[in-house]
Amino acid sequence: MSLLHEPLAPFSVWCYQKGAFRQVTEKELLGHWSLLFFYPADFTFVCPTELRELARMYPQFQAEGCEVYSVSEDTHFVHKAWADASETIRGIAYPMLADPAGVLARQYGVLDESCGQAYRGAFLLNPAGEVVLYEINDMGIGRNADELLRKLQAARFVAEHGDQVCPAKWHPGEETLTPSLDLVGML
Amino acid sequence: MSEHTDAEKSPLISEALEAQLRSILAPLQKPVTLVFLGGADEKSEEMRRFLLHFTSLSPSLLLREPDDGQKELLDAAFLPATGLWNEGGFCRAVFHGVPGGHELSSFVTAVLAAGGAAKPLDKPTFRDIAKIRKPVVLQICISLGCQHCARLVMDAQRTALENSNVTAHMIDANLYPQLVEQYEIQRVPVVVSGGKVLAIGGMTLPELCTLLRKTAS
Repeated sequence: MSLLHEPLAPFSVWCYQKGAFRQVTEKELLGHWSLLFFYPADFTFVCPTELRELARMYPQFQAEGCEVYSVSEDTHFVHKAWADASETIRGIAYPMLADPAGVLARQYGVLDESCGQAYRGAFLLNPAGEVVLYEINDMGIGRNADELLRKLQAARFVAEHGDQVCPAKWHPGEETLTPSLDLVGML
Repeated sequence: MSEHTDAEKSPLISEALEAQLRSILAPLQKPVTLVFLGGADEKSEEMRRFLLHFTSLSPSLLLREPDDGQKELLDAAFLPATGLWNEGGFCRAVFHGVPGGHELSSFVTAVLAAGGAAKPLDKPTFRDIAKIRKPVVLQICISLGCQHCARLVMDAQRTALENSNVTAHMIDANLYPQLVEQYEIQRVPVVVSGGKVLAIGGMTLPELCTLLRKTAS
């Protein structure tokens, strides 16, 4: 079953952000684009690489009107402990959501019930809180923050201009496309 | 320009397409002159061959090189350029590049309109077009693989044919990297006028008329 256009359900979780704890509810995700970035667990190896990439590009996501939320099934205390232990994690400015009860991971279908960890899911929500694109990778498969940013830009563009556009990949010097005639309604 | 010969048949016009075009162009009511301005580049040569072949498919079509006044109207900044003239003069529809892909449809449609063989417009559309009362020159930046683009080019050039205040240039953006860079074009169609991007994306003919009324006023 597709999760596209899935509406945002009510939730309330704790988060760790820049040395502080606070609660985050679904209301905070409305009115701007949101990226929910699930990862299996704190204190693992692939995760910090992905989270660091996302931290590096966080200003670009913000410039596109998008807030980034990383989510794992750890508590906010564990997030803090990880930040205390790792310079990489300490450098993360976006909110790190704690979902130990699996509320968010279940809603977005990324909870591996056998181990209580989240698959590597990335969900882009529009300002109304609806999923407009997502990817779910198995545990060991990392994601590409550049590609997520490109998709965010595309989603914003479509939201602003509708779908009456074609993406253009410029290849100077390429051969002219074979002509095709479509004059239905024109003659 | 020289007469068409078999050796100059364009690879873009297959035998099947040639037969189709002969039939589509048969209803032309009046002569249409395609005025071609090319350079020494490959695309200009490709377009010259295409036009030689295309104009051989109807006795109502003529192909010629521009005089000085026509050169100015064609906009030599983007070569190759092909403009349409009929007995009333400049039709204000110009194509920059080669009309491959979906743009063959817009090219043929413009030729038919210039030759008095286009489908008549309904009255509300005709009135919408007539309300554009100040001059506006459009550059419609397109990609040959974009179906939304061809539709917009058709509408813009039909608008130009019906209203002498409007001039519509179709520009295959792929051929002009400076244009892509200047307007940061990543998606098409993009409508440019007076050095500014007016709109991105396809639109209906009434929407285009509304945009042009706002732009021209």
